[in-house]
Amino acid sequence: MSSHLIEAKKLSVTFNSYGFIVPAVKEVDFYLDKTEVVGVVGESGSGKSTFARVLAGLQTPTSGEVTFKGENIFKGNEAYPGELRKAVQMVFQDPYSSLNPRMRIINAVTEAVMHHQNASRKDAMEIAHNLLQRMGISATDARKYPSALSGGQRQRASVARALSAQPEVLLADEPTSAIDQSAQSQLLELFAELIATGLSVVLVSHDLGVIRYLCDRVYVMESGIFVESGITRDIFHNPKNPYTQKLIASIPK
Amino acid sequence: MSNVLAKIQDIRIDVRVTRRLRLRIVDTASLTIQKGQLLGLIGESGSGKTMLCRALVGTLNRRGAYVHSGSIDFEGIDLVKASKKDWRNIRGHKIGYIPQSALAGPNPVMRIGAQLAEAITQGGRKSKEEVRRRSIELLELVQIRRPEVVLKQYPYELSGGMKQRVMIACAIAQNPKLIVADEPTTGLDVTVQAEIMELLRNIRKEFDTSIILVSHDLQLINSVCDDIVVMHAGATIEKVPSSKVTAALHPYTHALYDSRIDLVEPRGKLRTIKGQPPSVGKWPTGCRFADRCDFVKDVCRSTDPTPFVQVNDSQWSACIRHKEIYGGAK
Amino acid sequence: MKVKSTSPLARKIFGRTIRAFSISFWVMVIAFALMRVTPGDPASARLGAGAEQEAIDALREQLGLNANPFQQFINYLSDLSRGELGTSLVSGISVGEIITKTFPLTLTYIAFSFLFAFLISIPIGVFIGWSNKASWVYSFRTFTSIVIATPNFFIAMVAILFFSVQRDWAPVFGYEPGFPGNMRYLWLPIAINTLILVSIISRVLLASVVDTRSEEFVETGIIRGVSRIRFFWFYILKPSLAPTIVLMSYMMGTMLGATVILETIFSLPGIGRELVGAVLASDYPVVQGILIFFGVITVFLSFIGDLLAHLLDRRVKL
Repeated sequence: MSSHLIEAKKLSVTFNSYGFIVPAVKEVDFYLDKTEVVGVVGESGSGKSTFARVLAGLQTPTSGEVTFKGENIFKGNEAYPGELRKAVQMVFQDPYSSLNPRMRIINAVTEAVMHHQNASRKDAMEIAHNLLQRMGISATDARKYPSALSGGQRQRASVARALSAQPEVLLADEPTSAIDQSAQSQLLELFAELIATGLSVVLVSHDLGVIRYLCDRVYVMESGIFVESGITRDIFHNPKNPYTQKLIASIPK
Repeated sequence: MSNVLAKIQDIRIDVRVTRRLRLRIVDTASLTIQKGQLLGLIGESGSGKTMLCRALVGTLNRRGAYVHSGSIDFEGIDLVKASKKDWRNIRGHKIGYIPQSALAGPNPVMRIGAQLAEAITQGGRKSKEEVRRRSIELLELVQIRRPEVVLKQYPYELSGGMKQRVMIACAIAQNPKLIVADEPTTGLDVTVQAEIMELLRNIRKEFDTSIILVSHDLQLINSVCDDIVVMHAGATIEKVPSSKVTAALHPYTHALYDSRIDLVEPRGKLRTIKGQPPSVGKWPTGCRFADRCDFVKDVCRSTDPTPFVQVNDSQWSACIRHKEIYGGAK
Repeated sequence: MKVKSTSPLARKIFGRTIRAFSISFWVMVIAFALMRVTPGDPASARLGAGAEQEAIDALREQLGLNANPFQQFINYLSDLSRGELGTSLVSGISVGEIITKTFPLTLTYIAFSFLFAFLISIPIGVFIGWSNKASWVYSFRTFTSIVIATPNFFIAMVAILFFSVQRDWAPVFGYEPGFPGNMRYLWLPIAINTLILVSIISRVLLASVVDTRSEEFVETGIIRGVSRIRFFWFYILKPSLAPTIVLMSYMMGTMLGATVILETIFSLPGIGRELVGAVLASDYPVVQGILIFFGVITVFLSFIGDLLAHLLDRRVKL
């Protein structure tokens, strides 16, 4: 039995399109240790989002397995059964679509706290307020609807909601790509703080700057396979794979 | 100053929200574009950079916006007052446009060939053979392989990068003097972004075209452009050559530059800009950056914002205290 | 880019054709089953309560109802494959003949309604949608909502009262074949149908035009300086038309069902009234035949609609 927190072995996902079998992820191996931050970097169509969806249990793999603390996350038709569900939470690229537009931010987070922590409404409200405050969302802003907030604030609100489950792993799929530069650095600072408290993170992104800033290790994905993986600093300073080299050369200087 | 191609002077743009309510979205923006210059225009969402572009290509009206005051001088014609006939001579001929979203830029119900032909024949009728030859020439120019095949394809058959190349080909079809590129690489991969930027630079070099590149990515602008104009809350607040961006004369430019994540150690302390950018319609009186500025003093909030002024031969700043903060012009 | 041996379009059309045929087959199966599971014996229903057992048995034999259901189904399919829809129990005329006699009338006014509705909807949808003026859009929505919400037989009755009874602009009922004489009887049903169709079609078109209006490629077209006519077609209408085409092809099929009501009200000898008559007379071969005819037409119309929409706008999946 492995000692990794999350481990994927020979994971493959194929899609069926007009009778053609299209492989999205091809027999990849992956692991995440406790308190580790691991990045998956790749371009559109590389399969990184599909891979993230499998880790989150939103997509069943065609073959291979994903384990969380040694247990397969897919049991029958269910992914992350029972208590495991809370342990892995996801933050999406587009906070517009993941927050209920007809619910005030504070209520959405309170609801999530009540659901995950079995707290009374009063306690949950307080926990939610603290959470949002930690995310840099003021009490005034918390009473607003998602549409009244900026993209960066919305993204931080959805992080707050994810954290309400007190997860062990946060899975973030392109969390910074829809927001402005100043909001992006605020969000990254927040992630850095969360990581310092021992949260394990899988960060899927096309933005090498974000990966470099946050991740301990990185997997470089191209056409469904990890072409290179290793310690972030090594990958950035001494990329071996031609594709990784091309990616790094594309960063504006 | 015969080298100036276009000059935007103290422009204010309003948008009609309801019958009575008007919202100012651009408030005193000024820009000068030299011939053959690659000018970067940077700002966060809501800074008015896209509206400024729309004023340049004359499509404000579509979004219910209009120029309140100010002028845009383009080769002796004031674009603010330009007639339909003037626009017909300018659009597509003298000013090309590369749209924001590569995914939605090309017309989805027209073949690539038809769209290119449209751009090519703006100057007058041309024979089929001429159009075809020019189309292939343009596609080759933007480095599309197998142009004969692409001509017959619909946009949905092309990748995002290919679509944006086609849009660039359309924009340069008439050898325009100015190309307005509004966030041309948003949503595209980094490697594709690098290729598109390379392409824009080559076009500038080969045809001596002036290009306005709009982006929210300072790192990108800084690496590609000659000069940078920074917009904040509807105003142009700084103009600085990209080589001197570290010696900028406005705290906002510095703050933007300093918040770059590639400058710090992994998970090191970021120098983030605190708070939110002021939203349209809720701009504070005085300097609109005051609430987020590290150097703010009472005088910043009480003095009305002034258009940026030339500080030295290459730099302009709208900060009334730039001398005090940065020790005057260098 | 990979070059495939057959073009994707040809492959998709082939697939859809196969699907249309298979749906048509199920339409036939359902029509067959419906006629068998409806309570009551068709033969005794046809002959009435006072009929003698021998007559009923003879009719049952003639209709092939004594064979087991499976054998009946085989016979039914083999008849259908020869284009044989059976014969009317009332008149002894073949169902195929009944359809060819009554359908042209129905087709005439449905075709005219759709043609007019299409021609009227385009300017309305495009101009109100393009202007996107709140007051216009609001009045338009209110008016069309009222029309859509009013049952069509009610509109028809009011129209008859107004145009036929009060002013004598149209005959109250009756029909006389042959163009242009038939138009005297048909213009009112066509007008009513057109009104209802315009309300639905122009609403869908308007919504698409409003969507198209805010798309980025429209901006590109303006800046490129495209001529007015090209702009109208390539940048407004063509990108907005696909949902309308799909809706119309689908509605042409469902319109067939609605003909029953209009033809009854206007006493037009079309296929709808024939169907009502056949149901009332328990003439089950006719009912079955007309249902199959309607079903197959609907299936192929919607296929053609999808195909046209796809050819017009490749974003539409086939």
